[in-house]
Amino acid sequence: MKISHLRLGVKAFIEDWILFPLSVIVHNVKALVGFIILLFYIAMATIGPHVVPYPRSFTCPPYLPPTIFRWPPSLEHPLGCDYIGTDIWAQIVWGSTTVLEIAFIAGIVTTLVGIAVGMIAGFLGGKVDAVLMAITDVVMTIPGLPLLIVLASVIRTSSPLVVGLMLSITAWAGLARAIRSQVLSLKYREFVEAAKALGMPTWHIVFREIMPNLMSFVAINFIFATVGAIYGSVGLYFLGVLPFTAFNWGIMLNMAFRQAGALYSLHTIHYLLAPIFAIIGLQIGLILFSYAIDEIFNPRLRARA
Amino acid sequence: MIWLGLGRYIVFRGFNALLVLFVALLISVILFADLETKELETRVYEQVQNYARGLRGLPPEEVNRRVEEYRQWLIKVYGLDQPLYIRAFKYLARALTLDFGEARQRYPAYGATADVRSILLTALGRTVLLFTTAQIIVIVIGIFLGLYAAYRSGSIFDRFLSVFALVTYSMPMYWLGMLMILLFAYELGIFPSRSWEYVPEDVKASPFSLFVWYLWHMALPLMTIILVSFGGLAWIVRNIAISTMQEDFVMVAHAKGLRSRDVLYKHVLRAISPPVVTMSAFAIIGSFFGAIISEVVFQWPGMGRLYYTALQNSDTPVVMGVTYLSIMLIVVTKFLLDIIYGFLDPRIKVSG
Repeated sequence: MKISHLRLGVKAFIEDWILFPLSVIVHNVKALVGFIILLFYIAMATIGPHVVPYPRSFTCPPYLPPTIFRWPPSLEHPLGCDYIGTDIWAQIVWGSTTVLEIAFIAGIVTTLVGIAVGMIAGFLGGKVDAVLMAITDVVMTIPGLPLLIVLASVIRTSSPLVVGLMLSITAWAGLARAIRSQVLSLKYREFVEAAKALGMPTWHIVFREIMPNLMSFVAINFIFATVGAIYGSVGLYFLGVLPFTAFNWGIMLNMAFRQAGALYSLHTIHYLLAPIFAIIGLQIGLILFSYAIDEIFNPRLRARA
Repeated sequence: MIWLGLGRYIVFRGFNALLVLFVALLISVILFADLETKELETRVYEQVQNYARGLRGLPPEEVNRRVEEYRQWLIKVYGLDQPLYIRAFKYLARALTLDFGEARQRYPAYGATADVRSILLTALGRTVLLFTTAQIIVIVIGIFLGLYAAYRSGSIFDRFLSVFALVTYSMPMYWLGMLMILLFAYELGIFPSRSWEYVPEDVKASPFSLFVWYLWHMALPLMTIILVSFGGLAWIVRNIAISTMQEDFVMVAHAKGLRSRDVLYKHVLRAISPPVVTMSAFAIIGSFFGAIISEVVFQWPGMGRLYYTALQNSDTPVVMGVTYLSIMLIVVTKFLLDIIYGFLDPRIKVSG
């Protein structure tokens, strides 16, 4: 009896959270493209470093003066080499791990803090709401990038976890405000009133009645928080305020701009283009994927399917 | 009765704004006070070393006594004997009267003065010249194209705009800037690679040549900012406009027999103006502070680069000045927008 129950539960779970989203994605061309792009990036960050050899300097054919690196892309080095003879494709692959880690951590933390603050403020109201919204206002007012630069110069670490946490310090405020206003508009709807009248506990009302209606909003904001974190981390690395310990696309941009003088000649443009196409590709993949999220999470659309 | 409500609303909002201003400033003062302390301690150490060097030849006890006296005096002068929060409050009190003190070092690109206020004004002027001009152009283009795309939603233009917005939104401004410099400055040689140079005397002679000179120098950063920003704005305007067009009053306007152009410009534009005005106001205020990375790339000596240079040299008076100005402007803008909404929307007065 119990085992069949469990089997039913597993089946429902697979149908709800794997088959149904997949069918939505397959039917939505934009989302499908985004999904494939994201799969590619995830594969690059996880399997990539085991497949592509570590980017060592001076592995490319010998070249003339170090500032002029005129090695066009070839089969052996698909994206060419940089100014000290390091394979650029290998750098992109090895750099993708930290970029994705930072972006993912920052996205998760930003979203969780935003949901928690917005939900509590919107649901409890009164003095708690006033205090939380005052804090949110203050956080929204403090300029973001300068704060990050100061923090980065004080903390001086490149650990993805810490950088991700740092990036979410200023990012959660906007989301918290948006969640709060969503909660306020849902709080007095009939189905919430009905749950209250039935004597349902608060956790049930919050997680079973209000949360599902916010899920698509939250998921889209998670994606935008991730996109913002990618910008933020690459920008910090580009400015050189975070220590250069591992490979990162922002570090590559910084090297192209400051060390290799990639601005001065079209012969070296591949060094400038490679990291940025990696970034733009990832952003576009995330945004395209977000087009399907509303369909996946919106309970009204789900019921129809 | 209504006016009383509005008065109360304004007082409430004003109090709220002051509170936010105060707390945000306090936090940034405390944040930078740590940097400031380290900087001051280094200075005390250096000056004591210099002083001790001048005392050579005296007996060692005498030297030690004098050096210690001098050190105590320096610590008092720099205010290091007071606890952090007292220094923070003192700074706050001075900053509220727009007295930011003296910069620790000279910034030749911002006039060779140490007065932080005049450095800030110079930087602000240049950033407004570039970024605010660009932002205004972006807003005009964005609203116009967004409305047009909403009017012809589903057309090829509309689809093209979505893709364009998606691509430019994912593109860091500084990177497009680097590409533009590479292409137009170094390869084609049309525009200068440094966007800011001292104006030669013969150009200053006539206003027209000065204008052309500035336009020629600002062309690359202007094009970059506009290209990166207008797509996203147009896309947002399009989405707001499309959801407004499905509302009843627009249908009524159509049913009355108004021409669709009149419906678009007279009814839809008015209905979407509050969110669009808010967005534009914050975009313009945001443009006062430039973009740190883009200013570094274009070598444009505005607010962003000043902030960056000052942060790198831990020049706290300048850093605090910029931070203060930015927090102040955001809070004031929010307050003004709140009041404008209070006038426009009668519902707010009641709930506020």
